[in-house]
Amino acid sequence: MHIPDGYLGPITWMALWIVMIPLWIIASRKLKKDLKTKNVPLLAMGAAFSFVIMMFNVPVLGGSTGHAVGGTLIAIVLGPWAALVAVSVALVIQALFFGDGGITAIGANCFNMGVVLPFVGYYVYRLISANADTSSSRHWIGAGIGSYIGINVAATLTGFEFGLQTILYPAVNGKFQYFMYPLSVSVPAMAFEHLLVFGFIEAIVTALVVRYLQQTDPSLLRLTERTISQDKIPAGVSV
Amino acid sequence: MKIPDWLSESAPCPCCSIGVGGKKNFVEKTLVEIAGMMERSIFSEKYANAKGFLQSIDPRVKLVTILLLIVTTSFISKTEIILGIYALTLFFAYLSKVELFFFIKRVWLFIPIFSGIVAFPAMFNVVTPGESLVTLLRFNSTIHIWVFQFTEISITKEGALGALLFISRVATSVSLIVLLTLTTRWVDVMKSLRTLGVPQIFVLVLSMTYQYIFLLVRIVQEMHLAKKSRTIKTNTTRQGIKKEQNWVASRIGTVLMKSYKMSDEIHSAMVSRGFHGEIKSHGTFKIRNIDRIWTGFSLAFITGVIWLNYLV
Repeated sequence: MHIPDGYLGPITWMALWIVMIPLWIIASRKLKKDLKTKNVPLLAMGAAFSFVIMMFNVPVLGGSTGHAVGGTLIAIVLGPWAALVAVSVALVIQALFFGDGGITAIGANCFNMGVVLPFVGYYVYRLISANADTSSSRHWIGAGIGSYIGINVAATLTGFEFGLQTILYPAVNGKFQYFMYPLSVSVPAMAFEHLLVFGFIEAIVTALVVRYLQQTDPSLLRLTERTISQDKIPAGVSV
Repeated sequence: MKIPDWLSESAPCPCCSIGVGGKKNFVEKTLVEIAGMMERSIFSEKYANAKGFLQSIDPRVKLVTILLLIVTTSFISKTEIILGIYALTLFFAYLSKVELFFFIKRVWLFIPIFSGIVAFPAMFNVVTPGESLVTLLRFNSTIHIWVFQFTEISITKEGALGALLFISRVATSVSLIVLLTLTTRWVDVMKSLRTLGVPQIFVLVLSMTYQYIFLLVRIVQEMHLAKKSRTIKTNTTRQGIKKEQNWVASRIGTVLMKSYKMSDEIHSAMVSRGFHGEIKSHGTFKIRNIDRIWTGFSLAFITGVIWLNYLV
């Protein structure tokens, strides 16, 4: 789902940078207030973790393998705003040093995988696991369903951004300029691929990791509850 | 640091000979990917310390000009101009003592080849109608598939030119960023982000992340090596795959727990050394004449390219 440079025309990638800049500012203010000096090492380790989670190959039937993105998992443990920053940092490092994802497309990639994926995944998880005991199976089921929905919404949106190019930049003398397939092709292509394959890998990994945490270190699943309850004290204060 | 020849040679190691020829299982795949990642970062540092042209330019100036070139490449719609920028990256790679074969391989191996696969169907009249260059198949009636309609299958001039523009833009952008990171130490790239107005706190998180990625990757590598050394054959039955998936998930969970614990310890270590949320960076960068010349050249080049693209 990492969009390289050259796939999106300037209007799209600039618009998504403009969307991301205030989101990064809001996230960093929020985290600084909640975590104080602890935010620097926590975000750095979160980002490093979100980088290495993509290196784990997961076996699936038929002898093939795939990897998870992990956005929902990080949001479940650190909260969606920390996930936004952690995933963004990992994406910037991938784009700069490993050629994975474009430089102009950093805004788009951070929006799809750093905002949409973790926020959708996290709130679906919260909805399903609300008020459940930490050992309850609703946690890992919610994590599985949340991550499945999260990655599919993000993938469909990526397909939409791709397909938009033929409308924003119609072919000049019949020659296409950026991503060349229309919405009717790009959206189903991205959606099916994730509905049928990558969504399941993401769901299996997220659900199994949450279940593993429930058995070994359930305190990690309660980290965000603490910050949420702290949030309730200055009610009405918007960031 | 110069890598001795015997270290950079990739000799077949006896421990992996079992996997040779057959399909790699998920443990081997992860190990190969990790080795590849480590190798790439070691080679980057090797070139960054060479005494070439781009290495002598101030990292801030280099970062800003190369990013501007990437943005410019995104706006250019003439293939010839983009190919000209690509040729320029090869020229500067040569001046910067980067082996051209290594540079081209590094650039093309990943994204552009993948983009070629993406663009391939668009060369045909089914996606891009136009003047036919080669006709492969002709039908008696109009065929309807999904959203497409066609009476023949042929490669069109418009499709081929579009695919060329698309792939050259992708490859040129990748070349530019690879040129930047090959000729600049990563610490300097991070520090230079400050000049772009990236807040200090982000720069600090970025550079800490970069360091700890290697630590975590090493942990992941050891987990997989340990498993590989104890496994004769991974199980591929339905039941077996479930077990293997559980193993992967438990290792991801372990890395997560380790990194969370580590962040606590790193925090204590930072606070005990006087960290209170503000960071001072000790910059030693100095703008010299070569930087001024390079900036002048880059700006003139970008202006020229835009003029050629829009006004000629």
